[in-house]
Amino acid sequence: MSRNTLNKVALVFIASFLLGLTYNFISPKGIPLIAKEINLKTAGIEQLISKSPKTETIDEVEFASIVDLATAYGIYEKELAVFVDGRDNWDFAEGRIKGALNIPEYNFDDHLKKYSAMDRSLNYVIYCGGEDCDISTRLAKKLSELGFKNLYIFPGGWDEWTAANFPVEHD
Amino acid sequence: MISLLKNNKIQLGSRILLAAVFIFAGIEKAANPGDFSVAVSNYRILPLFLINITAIFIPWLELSSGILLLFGKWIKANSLILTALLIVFNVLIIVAILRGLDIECGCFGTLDAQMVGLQKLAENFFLIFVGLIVYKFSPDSDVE
Repeated sequence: MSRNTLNKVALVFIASFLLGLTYNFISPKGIPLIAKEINLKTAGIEQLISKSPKTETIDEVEFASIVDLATAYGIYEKELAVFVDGRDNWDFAEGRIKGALNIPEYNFDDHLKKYSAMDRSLNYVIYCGGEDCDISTRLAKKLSELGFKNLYIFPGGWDEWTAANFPVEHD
Repeated sequence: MISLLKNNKIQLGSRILLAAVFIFAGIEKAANPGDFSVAVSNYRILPLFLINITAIFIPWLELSSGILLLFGKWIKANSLILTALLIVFNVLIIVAILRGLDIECGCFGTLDAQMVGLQKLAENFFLIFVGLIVYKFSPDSDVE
């Protein structure tokens, strides 16, 4: 490996870094250089029972609340929210929380009209595969950007739900 | 064998393949740094303060290096960069598999929803091989 090659590698690195920073600065899709920690609060079932939907402006960092398995099941039993499965339609067809609605996160932007028309006064519990998947967080963020305020993320998702033998359905 | 790998057509084909993959992968990720930063954070390796910088920088490195390689500019340097990236990616994928993470690869931004797994690993190993062919056997155009 010649010194000459290494110099060129360094040049490409520096140029790419500057290009990235510049583009990120001028692009509307630019992101902050240092990520903010997402620290969502955990919600209890009482938060969903209170009839008045949240009206306060949504904090960029607090666009949704977290619900655990017990709370998610309580919500399911009392029909306090619509369950939203953020995985793709194949996973959804193979198995989902009973009665869940499918909003595949990966092509969310292609169906903005449809999703914008959903009832904003309802509560939505969003889930995906389980702890490792972040689809539900991304989906909640996108829905909050459309103006949905009553969003709950169930991080345990499909894995926890099925491990607990709670009601499911499939195509 | 070595003369075969030095063959102009093999060299050109390998170079175009490697370049095209990275240009394609780079464009989507460079355009959506937010989505890519999520993919980066899913690997749970980098500290929070490095995630966005990485998400801003890596796609442009892939893109610039890919374009330069496509046009035959600084072939050794750029094939070295892309091969090194592939090796790093594969290490990350292996770590993710060993930790049992069930995450999207993020390799092509959100264009593919391919999960981290053995298939991705194999694809990358193939590309590493291609990259090494270009790096090792390309005519040394870098000496100018």
